[in-house]
Order: sequence, then C-alpha cells, then structure tokens
Amino acid sequence: MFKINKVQAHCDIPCKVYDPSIIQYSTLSIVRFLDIINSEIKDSNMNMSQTAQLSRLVSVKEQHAKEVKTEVATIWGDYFKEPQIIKFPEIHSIVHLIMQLASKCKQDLDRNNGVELLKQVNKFTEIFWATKDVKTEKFYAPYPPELVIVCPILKSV
Amino acid sequence: MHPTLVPGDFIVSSSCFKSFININSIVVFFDKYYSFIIKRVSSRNVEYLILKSDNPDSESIFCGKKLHIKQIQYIVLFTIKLKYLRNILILLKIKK
Repeated sequence: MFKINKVQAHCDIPCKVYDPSIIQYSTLSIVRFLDIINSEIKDSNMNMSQTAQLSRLVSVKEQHAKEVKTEVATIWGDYFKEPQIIKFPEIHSIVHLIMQLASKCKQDLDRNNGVELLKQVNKFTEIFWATKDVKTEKFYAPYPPELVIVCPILKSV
Repeated sequence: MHPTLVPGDFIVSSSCFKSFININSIVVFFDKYYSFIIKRVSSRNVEYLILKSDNPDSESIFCGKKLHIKQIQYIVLFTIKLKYLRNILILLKIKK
C-alpha cells in the first residue's frame, strides 16, 4: 500500500534562449547576396577572379539559406509546444513554406524568392514574440537590402 | 520543479484521488525512458491534460506535452521539504 519511489522533474538544459533575429539576419543576407550575384552576372566577360568571387557569393548565399532552415526547425521543434500550437495553428504551414522558400533560394537566383522568404520569416517572428506576449514593430533594416523586418519591443533599462 | 520541489524533498501521493486532478495539481506519471516524472497541470479537458514545470528557467520535453488522463498514476497530496524535515529532526535531537 505504501511505497517510496523516486520521481524526477526531468529538466533539460536551462537554456530557453530562442530568438528569430538570426533567421531574419540570414534572410536579409540571402536577398543581399542575390542582389550582388545578379549584378555580377550582368557582366558576362568575367575574369578568373570575378568567377571565383561569384562562386564564393553563391556558396555563402546557400549557407545562409541552410542557416534559415536550421534555426526555424530548432525554434519550431524545440520551442513550439502544444499551447503555442493551439494558439497559432498556422505555424506549421508557415514553417513549411519557409523551408520550401529557403530551398528555392538555394536553387535559384530569383530575388522574389528571398523577398517572399523574408515575408514568411516576419510572420514567424511575429507569432514567436506573440507567444511570449512581447509586442512587435516593423522597421526597415538599417543595412542593405533595407527591407522590412519585425522587431520585438523590449523593456528599456 | 524548483522552487516547489528540490532534489531530496518528499511527496505524498495517491492513486485514489485522480478524479480531483485539476489545473495546478501536481501529478506523477510513468515514462518508459525516464521512469516516474513529476509535473504540474497547466490545463486539462475531459480526457487530456497539458503539463508544465514550476521552474521558469528550465525546459523539459514533458512541459507542454499532451497526456491522457489515464496515464497519470498519482496525484500529489502534499510535499515535505527536506530542509524542514532536517530542522524537525535537529529539534527532536535537541529535545532528547
């Protein structure tokens, strides 16, 4: 009838540090790289050094697209749980769209893919901060490509 | 579950009062990988409940997890803090 068992609360590493700003930074970088690549390609008579530069630009663009996918998957997989998903059921379709657009950004050189990716990343960011009851505001990024990003309104010191 | 429970604390739980499980109840369930797990109920409906931890600085795979009410093995009736238990034992020793 009476038994003493050991119970545990099972706590993971107390990290809780999730921030979609890395995703926004990477997405803006993708658009920037697409702009630079597209302007480089216009010049068809490229020398060796320009070709090497182009291949470097493409490679870094793809790295950023990979980073977007990894970071989104981490927040979606680790942070979003039942209560957040119930509140924002659209999160699954947004994440899926981000994954697809990030892949398109890797495959293609169309700037629109990058811009559309940023739109979806902004939606994701808005939802993320809403789950934490943090208000957000839209700002223009202070560096090229100067597109709109969603930023949290943080407590001032 | 800090600050409610810290390692070494005791809990008295029962399987008889499971019908009283409600929001903020502390419950114990069995997980095949982690053995007995203790968490607080954050929300519930007729069949399922969602768990949370009291520790704001910690994350757990069981927090936010949907659990069938049948999976709950015990409801915690009360807790005995180890630090108070120690003080009581010290007092008893002094009295002797």
